[in-house]
Amino acid sequence: MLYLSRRELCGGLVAATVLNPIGVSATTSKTIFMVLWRGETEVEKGFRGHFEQLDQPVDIIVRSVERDADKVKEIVEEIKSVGPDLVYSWGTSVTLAIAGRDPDLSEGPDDYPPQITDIPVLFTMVSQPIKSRIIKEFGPTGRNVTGVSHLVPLETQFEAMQAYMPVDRISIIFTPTETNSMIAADRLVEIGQRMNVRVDQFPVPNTTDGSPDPEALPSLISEASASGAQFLYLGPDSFLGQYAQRVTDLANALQLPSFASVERMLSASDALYGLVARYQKVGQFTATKAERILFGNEDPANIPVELLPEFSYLIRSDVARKLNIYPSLALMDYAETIEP
Amino acid sequence: MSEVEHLELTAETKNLEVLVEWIEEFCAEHWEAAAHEYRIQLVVEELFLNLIHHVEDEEGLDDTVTFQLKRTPQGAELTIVSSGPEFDPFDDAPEPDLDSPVDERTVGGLGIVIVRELTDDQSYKRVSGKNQLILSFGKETSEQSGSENNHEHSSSVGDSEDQTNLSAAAAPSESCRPRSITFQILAVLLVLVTASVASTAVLNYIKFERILTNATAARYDPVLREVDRSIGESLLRGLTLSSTQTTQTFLERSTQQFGQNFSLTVHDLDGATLFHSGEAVLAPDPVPAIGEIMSGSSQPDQYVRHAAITQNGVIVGTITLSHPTTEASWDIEEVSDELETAAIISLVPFLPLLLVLTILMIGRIEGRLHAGMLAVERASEKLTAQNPVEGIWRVQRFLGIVRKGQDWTREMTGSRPILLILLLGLLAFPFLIFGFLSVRVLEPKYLNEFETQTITAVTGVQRRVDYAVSAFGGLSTLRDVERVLDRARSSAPGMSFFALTDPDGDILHLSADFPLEVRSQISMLSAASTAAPVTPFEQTFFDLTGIALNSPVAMAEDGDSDLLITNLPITGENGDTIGLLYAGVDIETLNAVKRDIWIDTGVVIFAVILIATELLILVFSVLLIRPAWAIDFLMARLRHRDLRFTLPAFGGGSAKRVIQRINEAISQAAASARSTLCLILPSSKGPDTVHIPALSHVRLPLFLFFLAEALLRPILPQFLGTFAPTESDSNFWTGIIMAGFMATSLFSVLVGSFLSERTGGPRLVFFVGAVCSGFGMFGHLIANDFYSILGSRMLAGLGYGLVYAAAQVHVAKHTDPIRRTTGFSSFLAVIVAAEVCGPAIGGIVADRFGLFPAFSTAFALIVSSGALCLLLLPRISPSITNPNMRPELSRTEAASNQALQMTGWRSQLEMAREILSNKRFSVAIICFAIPAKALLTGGLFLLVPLIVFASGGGAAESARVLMGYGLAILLLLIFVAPLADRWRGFSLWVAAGSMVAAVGFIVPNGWILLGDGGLLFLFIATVLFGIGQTLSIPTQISFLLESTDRQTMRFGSGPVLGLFRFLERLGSFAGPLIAGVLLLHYSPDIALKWMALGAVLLSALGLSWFLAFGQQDEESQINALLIET
Repeated sequence: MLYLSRRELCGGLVAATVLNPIGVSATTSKTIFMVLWRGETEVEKGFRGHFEQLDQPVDIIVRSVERDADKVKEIVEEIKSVGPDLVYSWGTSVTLAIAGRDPDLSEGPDDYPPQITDIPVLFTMVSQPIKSRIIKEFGPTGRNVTGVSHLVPLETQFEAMQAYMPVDRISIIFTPTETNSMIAADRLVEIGQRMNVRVDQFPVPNTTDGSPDPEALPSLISEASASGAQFLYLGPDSFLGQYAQRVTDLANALQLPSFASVERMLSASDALYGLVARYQKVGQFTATKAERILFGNEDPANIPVELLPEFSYLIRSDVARKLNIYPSLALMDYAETIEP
Repeated sequence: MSEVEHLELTAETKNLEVLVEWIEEFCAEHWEAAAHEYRIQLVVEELFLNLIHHVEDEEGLDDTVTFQLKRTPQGAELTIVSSGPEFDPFDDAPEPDLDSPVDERTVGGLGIVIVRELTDDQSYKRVSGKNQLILSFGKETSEQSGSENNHEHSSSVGDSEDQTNLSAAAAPSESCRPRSITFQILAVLLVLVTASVASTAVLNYIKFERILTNATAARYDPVLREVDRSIGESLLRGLTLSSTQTTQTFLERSTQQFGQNFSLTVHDLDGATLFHSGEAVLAPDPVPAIGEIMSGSSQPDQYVRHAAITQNGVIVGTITLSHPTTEASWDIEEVSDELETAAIISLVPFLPLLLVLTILMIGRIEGRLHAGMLAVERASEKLTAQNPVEGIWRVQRFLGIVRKGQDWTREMTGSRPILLILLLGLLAFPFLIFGFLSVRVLEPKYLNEFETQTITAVTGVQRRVDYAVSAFGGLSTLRDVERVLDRARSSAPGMSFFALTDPDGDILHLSADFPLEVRSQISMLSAASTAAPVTPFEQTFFDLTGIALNSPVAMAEDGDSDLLITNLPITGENGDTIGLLYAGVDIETLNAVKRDIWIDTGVVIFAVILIATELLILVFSVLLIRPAWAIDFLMARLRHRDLRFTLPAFGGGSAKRVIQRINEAISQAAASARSTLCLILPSSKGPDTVHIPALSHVRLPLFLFFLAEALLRPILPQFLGTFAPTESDSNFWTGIIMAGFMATSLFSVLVGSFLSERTGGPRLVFFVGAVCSGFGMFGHLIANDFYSILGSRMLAGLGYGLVYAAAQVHVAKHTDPIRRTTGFSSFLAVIVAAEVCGPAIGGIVADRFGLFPAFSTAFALIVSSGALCLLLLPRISPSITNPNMRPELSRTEAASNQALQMTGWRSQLEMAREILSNKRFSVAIICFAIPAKALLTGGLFLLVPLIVFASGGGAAESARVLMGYGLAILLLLIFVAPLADRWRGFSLWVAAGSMVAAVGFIVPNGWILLGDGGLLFLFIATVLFGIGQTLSIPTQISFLLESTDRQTMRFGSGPVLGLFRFLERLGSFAGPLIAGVLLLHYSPDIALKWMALGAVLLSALGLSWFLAFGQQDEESQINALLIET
């Protein structure tokens, strides 16, 4: 670590002042262009909170695609015209539409080409950036893109699931049209085989217009319960996120507890427990990278893409009581119990 | 005897001796007569020899002679009645010619002159046809003649004074007041006991401080282990330590639960602080091993405890718990004050008892001796040049009275042994009280720490249960409780059980080693308290001293178990108690500490008694034994009317004055009595000064010297191992270093033996040996590599051998040949006594203070030994070793022995060759002596401590195990030696002993239990080894001397024994080497087994040989056969 004496520090400050006749102030307001999937969430609350705490002025322009990826094109044009200091993209779909795939991983010019290349792009809430081929690996990307992933690794989730009580059969309901969800479902089966736990997949069928059919959920959940599953895994699935309450209600009615992979499913539905990244923490962590770009003058190409280093084991005690399924006492060391 | 005694005998020369003894007996009973015994003896001898001549000359004469001795107030009256024609020697005998030259005088006639000169009154009567001579000894004074009434009770002024003196000596109880020696001994004992109690107090203080500090520092260890384990478990696959959000929450939750009594800090492996609750502390360096709790010292006012955090068995970080030192439930000053009070209380009742017993025993002996000495001194004052014969006789009589009437040795060992036992037992008294009070000082404080640690452990479980109950509703919602209880139990060592019960005490969840016992204990706990009531005395004692006499453990325990049971409530949503969480901690650790205290107390008592015994022996030797021995010698010489010897003044007080006076008297008498008949006079140079033996004087220096070496016994192998070259087997190199010691001692014992034979040899050789050892020991303190420690050890070995040889020669020179076994048993007893208490003391010192102070203590002991050797050992070898021997004879014998021994190296080799050609000698050496020594040095001194250390024991445990060996020898020696002398099948004794000793070392392997009970079996093994050595070692000497009868006759026993010691030491040298080589391939216990098996084999071979060929050589056997037939 480099330590500066008081004299060196003062000298440095004076020199910086003299050599910077333009006098760019650290307090110059920066513009952040937020592109969101479904409006502002706890993540953005954490993001804003970080800058408020630092008392650093940022102007944030917010645009939400409202779960419609096609809207991103228009927003990209707006970004180009506004010329913000930073583009903030929420979720895998939005990020792919703005930052595109890593050029080295792209399968052709039509495979999500990067749309913004001259403005730093900071993504968040991308559950699997590598599988989505946005980045090659966690770490610096070498281009104008950096970001934060929030999803606890699936192996970890698997272990967390078993820490509550031993299980040997799990069911997963997922939306095949969602890349993330599909990847997660396959990966879960793979881990299950390795850990000697049977994983039954229950894909949500599409309606005639190609969108997932919410009407199919009761029968899927009944099947899952009938298969003898001890837990229902709720992955990072936007469709299921939308119908989370309904899904957990149906499952709980059949005494089938749910394990949530993201915080929202615990707060917005009646999933029993989950090992999750707290959204606010994700937002705060994303904000630290934004701060480095905006006020630290760091090149986003050198700022590593990272997994949020903080996860919480959350148990809905009301759901546990309702289902009469209680966790192992050993979990009480580090688990947090929450109620809505 | 009555006042008148008769003796009738025939006039034969052989009866002269009977007559002399009869007179002696009479005079011994009658002081009046005793004052004239010498004259009576001379007169009777003269007249009886005359009568024998008459009887031989005249045939048919009745040869019966009747003697009558009668006590008179002034002396004695002798009547002699004999047959024969009437003859009045005083009138009828012709006057002797005293004027003519000697050559011209006629033979005879002088006897009657002597009788006239030596008697005070003479008369002759013819009664019933027999001659009756009446001779009076002792003059009637004018006062006596003037007063008939007083006649029977008065005597001359001089005799009256004698009588007073003799009466004083005869009735010693009237003057047996204690004198300076008693008070000197009292002072020595007081200093010894007080210093020892004070030392014990310091040792206990250090022990208690360490125990309590460790216990307090470990107070939150259960929490640390639990938190550590929980963090490890929360590190699910794929997560990193820094990414676990739960860790911070968990730390805060834990510290909050214990009221912020401690802080918790989590570091990564680079030492960076990741999380902390409370003040962050520095990361440990180095990182502790998995499962280990490491003490840290980063903050002086904090107890810092570190543990490693693991993820899937790999260390990923560390967690540190720190809590303030001020939190201890005990105060170090309080412990110090209480131990000080305990020491004072222990000593206070001891002092009057010691005073009384010392005066009763030593004061009484000294008083009696002093009274006797005074009588002798006064008697010797009467010696004058005019009457030297009577004066000398007078002294002789008084010495006899002092020796006979005041036999202090009988006092000590015969009539009043109980006093000696009581006195030595009394020395244990303050230590026993102090041991008891020490336990009471420690118990409540230690127990409190136990309770705190238990509560800490229970609280950890309670927190989780409370949290779960508040989240989910009730005890019935808890799942996997047993797993949590098991885990919590494993986090708190010594925790016997955890139980979760309902409010009625019915067990819902249990984790226990013995579930059934726990159920009954918990149900019993609901009954009323069984705490013992405190008596008013106990309460008063507590109020005065702050030390509780009744054990809090006894009150805390329930029934027979050693469990301390604590419970905490589990509260429900409404604040009601919905359950109880019980924890039972096993207080075996406390019991073990108490056992340690008692064992250490026992060791100290033993050491103090041994040291006190050595001091008493020294004091008795200097002040009493040697003067008594001198009295014996002077008596023997004076009995033979031999005035050729005087003694150097030694001893102290009256004894020294008496010897000076007697010397003066003898010189005076010898100078003035040249013409007196019947005296053996010195040459014209005057009497020779005779040096008498001082056997006991070597004991204390020898004891201290061997104590120094024995102190190191339990720690030496471990200490030497630290100097082994890196990346090599330290045990092997330890064996090499120990062998280096043995090698130099092997040769120095031989060289020392020869040098000690010279004048003043033992003293000088002992001192040089002590100096060498002192430098060697100092070398241990400054050694920094293998070669420097090897050199130091070899130097110490050189000194060891010299001291051993010097002491042995000293014992040989100062012991009467016919009592040499007794002398050597005293030599062996000193070594064994040092071997018994040395390791134990060394273990305690090393345990409390460390290795450096232990070596420093050894160094100080060696220095003291060297100084004492100069102070105590005589410069000149004794002229005689038996008070009844004539000195010149003893000198001649010694000279002849020396002539044989000291005739050059070539003849020494010739002698060695001759001795070694004796097959019995060689077989005994190879099969018994060498294996015994090899097992002692390689097995007991090297392998046994290594086994103890390998099984997790420390210096103190090692010392206790080694103590078994010395104890066995010390206790058995007094029984075995006489038995062996009575039943002289020495070869069987030696072989049986060798086998028992060797089999002893196979015992631990027999059980294969070098785990929990390992040390006990090892102790049994060393005791068996000690028993075996007791059976074989003392008998080895007798066995060798018997089987080398011809060589012993030719060269004397010295060379045979010298060669034996040298060859025996080859075994001492080989022992560590063999052990070292075995250690290269085997663990210490297996190496010990192989050594023991080898010794058993050799013993069996030796026994078979002796059974086949016999103990004596063929010539002796044939001679024996011829005599029988």
